Amino acid sequence: MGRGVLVILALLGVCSALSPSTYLTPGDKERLKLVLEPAWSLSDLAQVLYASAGYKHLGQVIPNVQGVCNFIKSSAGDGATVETLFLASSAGKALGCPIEASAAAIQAVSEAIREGASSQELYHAVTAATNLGVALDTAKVLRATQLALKKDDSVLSLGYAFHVGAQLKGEVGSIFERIEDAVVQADEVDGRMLQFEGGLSITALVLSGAYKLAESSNKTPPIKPDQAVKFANYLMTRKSVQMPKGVYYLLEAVSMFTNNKFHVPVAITLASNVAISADAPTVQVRVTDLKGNSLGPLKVTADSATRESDEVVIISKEKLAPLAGAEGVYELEVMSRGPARGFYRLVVSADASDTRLVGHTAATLTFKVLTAISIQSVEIGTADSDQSTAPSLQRVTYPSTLGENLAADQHQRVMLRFLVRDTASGRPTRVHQAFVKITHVDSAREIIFVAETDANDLYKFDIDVSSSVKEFGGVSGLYSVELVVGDACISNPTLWHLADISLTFPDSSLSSQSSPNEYTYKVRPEIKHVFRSPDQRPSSLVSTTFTVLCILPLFVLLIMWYKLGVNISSFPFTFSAIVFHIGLAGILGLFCLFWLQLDMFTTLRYLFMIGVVTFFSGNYMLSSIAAKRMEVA
Amino acid sequence: MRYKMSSTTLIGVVRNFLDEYMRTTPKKLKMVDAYLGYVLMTGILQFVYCCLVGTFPFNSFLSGFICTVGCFVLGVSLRLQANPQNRHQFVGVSPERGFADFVFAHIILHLVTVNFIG
Repeated sequence: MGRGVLVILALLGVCSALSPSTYLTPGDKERLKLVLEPAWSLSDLAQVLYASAGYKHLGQVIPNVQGVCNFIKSSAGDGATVETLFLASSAGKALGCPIEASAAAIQAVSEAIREGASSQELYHAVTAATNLGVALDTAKVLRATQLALKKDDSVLSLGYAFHVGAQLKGEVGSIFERIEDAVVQADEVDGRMLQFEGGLSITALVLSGAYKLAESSNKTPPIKPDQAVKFANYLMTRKSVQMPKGVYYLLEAVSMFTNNKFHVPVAITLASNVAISADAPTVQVRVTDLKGNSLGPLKVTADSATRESDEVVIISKEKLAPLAGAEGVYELEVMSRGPARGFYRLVVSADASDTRLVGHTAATLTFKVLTAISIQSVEIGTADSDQSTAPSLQRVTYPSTLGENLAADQHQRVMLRFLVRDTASGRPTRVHQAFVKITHVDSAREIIFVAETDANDLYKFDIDVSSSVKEFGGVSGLYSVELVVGDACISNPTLWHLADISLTFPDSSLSSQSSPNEYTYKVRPEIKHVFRSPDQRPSSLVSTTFTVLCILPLFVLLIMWYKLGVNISSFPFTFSAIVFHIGLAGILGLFCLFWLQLDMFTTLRYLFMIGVVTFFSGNYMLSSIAAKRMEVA
Repeated sequence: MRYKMSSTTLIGVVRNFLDEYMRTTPKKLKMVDAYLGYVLMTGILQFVYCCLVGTFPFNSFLSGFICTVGCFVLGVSLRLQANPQNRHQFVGVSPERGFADFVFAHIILHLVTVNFIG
């Protein structure tokens, strides 16, 4: 009963588990620093801003600060645009060498804050003004921002507006209200991430803007704790970003998430190796903010630890002890509870005396328990194929090799039996991989067989020499027998040479052996194209009969015409009539020739010649007949 | 009276029809009809061959059979144009003109047939 409730609780915990599963590790930080590093060649002002702000967030020392400051000052000289002033002044602030405002710069910045400017332009101008120490007219900036938002109310525009609002003094409720508009536009991914369309830079910009605005107006932002965790999860998936701009935005947002008054996502991660064994019996859990900094002493509890294969709960509601010498790392001894081999799901929660912490409950971690195995009761030997005599088996103990060589010919079988015992529980067990590797000693050719278990978990391997000629290629000789035992959850995977055996195959099989090389590179039989053989033709008697039959109606026709009384006597013996009839006969003759030997082009050429003559003569003849008919009529 | 008497039997109908045909149809049309009958018989013979022996070689069978169908259609067209009863439908098409078209169409048909017969 109690266990069932625990399982249900554990499952519920898994369902609602929503906690950043990673943070910026020292390796991540080093990689992000490498992305930013090229900026110190001082060729691009924007890169310098990204790098100086990024280094500050990473806690890195900037090389040659004085040189960088000089570069910024020279960039922000007379005639600098508002954007340049924004970049230079922001970089100066991050570097700790604020640039001085020239009269021209102040004028340019003041002019840029006007109605009709986009929110990005306003953000640049207002930030530059704040950095340069120029006083801002809150009402005027608010009016311009509202107009910009009316023109363009995209998430990006809102993000810039939040940053503008965060730098204003006085009442900025009209911008604060818009945070909700932006947050509802975020897309959820897999139920565990939230992002804005447009990716990392927009998401990070909106988030940092929203929290800064909330801090400056001292109101809780309309972002729920689980939404904050989902945003944090998204930021963590993008920690491999390769662009300096992306790194800058990522670090801005991550720093904001580690240091604000409202939400600080907690990353609960495994600090120890995934594999727990007798040598390393504790699970270590690291509880940090997104940058990997400790959150101070916390009360960390393991809600449950469940074996994944059979849902057996081995730990429930246990406090983790802080690990001495490593801040933010907590440990729990597991092996003393006698866990079975396999993968476990650990659900960890940290208490929240600090109300800012979010995502600190029901974080799911996976670890596996390794146990050692021993191979016992090993017997190897041969038996007659026809089972006329009892098998002769010999015992071998790990790790020794059988002293004498075994021998088997085609009338025999080779048998191997062994037991794999879990040393922790002392019971026979099954492993993922149990193979028997048989290697020809001279050619080093390997044949690998799978050993199967029976109902009592006893492993058995049995080959009939005569029926496995093909596997061995019919090569007789001395073979070594090795046992391979492996599993993801055992601490001592084993390869053991247990015996040598001399196998004898029938001689006839030698000739039929073919090596893979021969098969691959030998000339394959040539493929000859074969046309479909024609169908059986009918006998010549049948076809001749039908030919005659087909000609018969012609005679019928002539007879009928004769009976009707065709008067050939009235045939007009004019020149045109004779030519016409000869022409027609010629055309029919030409068609016969075409059928027998000519091709289409020759035929058409002749047809054209005959056709023209026939046409004119026929035309003349028929029109004269028609004229005669008219006369008679 | 005789018409009424003989119309009661099928044979009577046929005999009556033939009688009428022999008396009223012009000789030229009878000649065309004889031609049509000849083409029909040839086509039927080819079809019987195909049923008994098989269609191989298929292109030869097709061209031969379709040639008879084409000839039949052309013959019917000629008969329609040459029939004095249809004169008002073919204004300006004399029987000679019809015959010329018939000959021309046959030349084309046979060219195609011979090309396809293989």
